[in-house]
Order: sequence, then structure tokens, then C-alpha cells
Amino acid sequence: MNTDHDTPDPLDERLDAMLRGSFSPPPDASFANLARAVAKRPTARWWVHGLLAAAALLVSLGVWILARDTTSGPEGHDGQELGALWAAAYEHAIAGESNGAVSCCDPDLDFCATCEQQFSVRLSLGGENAELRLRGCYRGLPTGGCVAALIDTPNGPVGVFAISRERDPTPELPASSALQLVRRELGPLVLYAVAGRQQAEPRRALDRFVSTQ
Amino acid sequence: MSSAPIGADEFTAAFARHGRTLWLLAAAWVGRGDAQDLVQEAARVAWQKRNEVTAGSQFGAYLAQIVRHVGANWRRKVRPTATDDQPEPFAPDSVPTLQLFDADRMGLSDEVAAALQSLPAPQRAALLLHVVGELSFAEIAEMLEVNENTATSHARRARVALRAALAPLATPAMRRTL
Repeated sequence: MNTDHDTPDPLDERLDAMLRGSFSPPPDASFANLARAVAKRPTARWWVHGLLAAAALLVSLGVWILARDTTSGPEGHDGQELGALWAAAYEHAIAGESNGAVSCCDPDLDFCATCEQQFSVRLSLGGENAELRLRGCYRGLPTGGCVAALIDTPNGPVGVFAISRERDPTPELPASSALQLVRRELGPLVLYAVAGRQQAEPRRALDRFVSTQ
Repeated sequence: MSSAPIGADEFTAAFARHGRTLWLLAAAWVGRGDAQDLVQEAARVAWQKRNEVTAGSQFGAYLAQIVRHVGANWRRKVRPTATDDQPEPFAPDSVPTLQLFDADRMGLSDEVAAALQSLPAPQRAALLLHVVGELSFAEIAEMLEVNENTATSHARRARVALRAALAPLATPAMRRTL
């Protein structure tokens, strides 16, 4: 045998030559190139991490879009924007009444009927209504897609704004406003009352509304 | 061994240094035709697991281990009963389903190709690493994760089998040495 210490014989020499001829490895440089290419290539783990990050980003984006949709008002306003619109509409309605201008409310447009038409919710002003007077739907400044009305109460005028619960962004009045905002959920609707900050019990105006479904 | 994980430059240098040995090992496991693909696959696996090993003299043995394991899986795809990581006992009946050594393409006689085919992969590897790779039996033992005596025995058995296959083709002078 042709081991480290044995004398080679012709058959071993022929065998060795045959093996060297049949199993000649590629040049060393090819292995270096191969390793260099592998080391430069992004690893599968990198791709897995990349895909997971992309998936997480997409899910976050989807959640953010969904959350954004559910907290936007009917016309896409957020809570602060809608609150500002309502404050402006209420002050506009009050100003029109106090200076004797043409009423901003349409007495022929019934608030409850408009709510039924827009939200498919039947409302009525229940109880003893002698002390409350519903002037009709507000038709002045934009209200962000909500149905609005002005109600005269013994404590002063109250603006009532109706919005679908699904599109309620929980409006907030501007910090500088001298108004107060009261909220009441009524089935699939949410009713808000806007009144002067010093005005007593604006909530009572909302409590008079009942759902008749 | 140093304690830092191996970097790209060290990895490339190690592959350049051990490439021939790894290729011969791969050729012993899956045949010459697929050897380069196996080495490339082993390089990919080794690079992915580079944080599990540190650079140094043992890196060659680590790469060899990957080549053997990837090679075993490679063959199982074709022949699920392959047991090349366990040289003894060997089941020659399971071999012919996978033709690793094409006599015509490798310039071998049918007898020698069949003899190569019939050998367990560790025996083929020991002989190839000794004859073609010019590794000592101590180095071969490290590559095959066996002791030096076993490495020597593997090579001897492989040589005996190939000599027997080659003998009918030998000249009378050569045959006298059998």
C-alpha cells in the first residue's frame, strides 16, 4: 500500500494517478470567490426579519387606518375639528336669534324626522314639552355632517347635535370656548348638547329625547 | 481559537484554505458532479451559522462537519436509507439506487467506478483526502471526526477494494504486486 511509510508499487501508483485525474478539485480561487459571494448575499434570516418587519408595518398601518376611520366624523373631522364646528354653529345660531336676524333654523325641517331619514333611528321629544321648544333643524354653518337643532329651554338655548355612534370622534370644544358640551348615547345615536358654560342643566334637553324603535 | 465570531474576510480566507479538502469530501459523499454544489450549500449553511463558531484552527473541521451533514441530507433526498455518517455496519444493497460515479464521464473503468460506488463515503473520503488532497491521517481524522487509526483503516480498506477492481486491467508487472 502507498501509505506514509510503505514503498509504492505500480498498481498503487496507477490507482493514485487515476484518482488524481478523476477527482481534480477546482482551483483555490474558485472557493474564495464562492465564499465571498455567500458572505455578501443577504442571509435567509435577514429576509425573514425583513418580511416580519414589513408585515408588522402593514398590520400597524391597517390598524391605524381602521382606527382613524372609526374615530372620524361623518365628513372626516376629528374630535377637535368637529367640536370647533359645533361651537361656531351654536354661537352663530344664538347671535342670529339675539340680533333679530332671520332665523337660522328651519321650522319646517323636523329634527326627529331628519334623524330618522339620516340614521334610520326614530326619535321623539318625550314627556311634558311645554317648557321646551324645538325650533327646527339648524341650517347655518357647517356641522360636519351631523343633524343639528336649537331648543329653547327655561335656562336658555341649547344646541343639539346628533351623530351616529360609529362615526362619533368624541368632539371637544375649543379650550378658549365659553361653552359646555354634554353627551348622551341613545341606541345607535349619540346626542350632544352645546350650551353656555354658565347655563344650568343642558342635559335635561337631551334627556327628553327617546328612541321609539 | 479567538473568541470573536468569524467575519466575512476570515470566512473567505478559510474557504480558500480548506476549499480543496471540502470539495474532495463532498465528492466522496455525493460524487464529483454535485461536489461543487454541495460545497456551495455548505458555505451558505456555514455563513448562516457563523455566530455559532469562532475563527481558528478548528474552523476547517467545522466546515467539514457541515459538508458531511449537508451531504448526508443531500443523498437522503434520493435515497432515504443512506447511512454515510455511520461507516459500520454498511449496507451495500442500498447503494445501487444512487449512481454517484459515472465511469465514462470520469475516465474510469466500469469496475473501478463500481468499486468506488460500493465503498462507504467515509472510506472514499479517507482515500481521496490522502491521495488527492495529500492530507496526513491525523488531518483526515479531524475532518471525519474519527481517530487516526480509523482514518488509516478507512483509507486502507478503500485502497484494497479499488486495487481488486483495478487488478484485472493491470499489466502482468503490476499484478505481481497484488
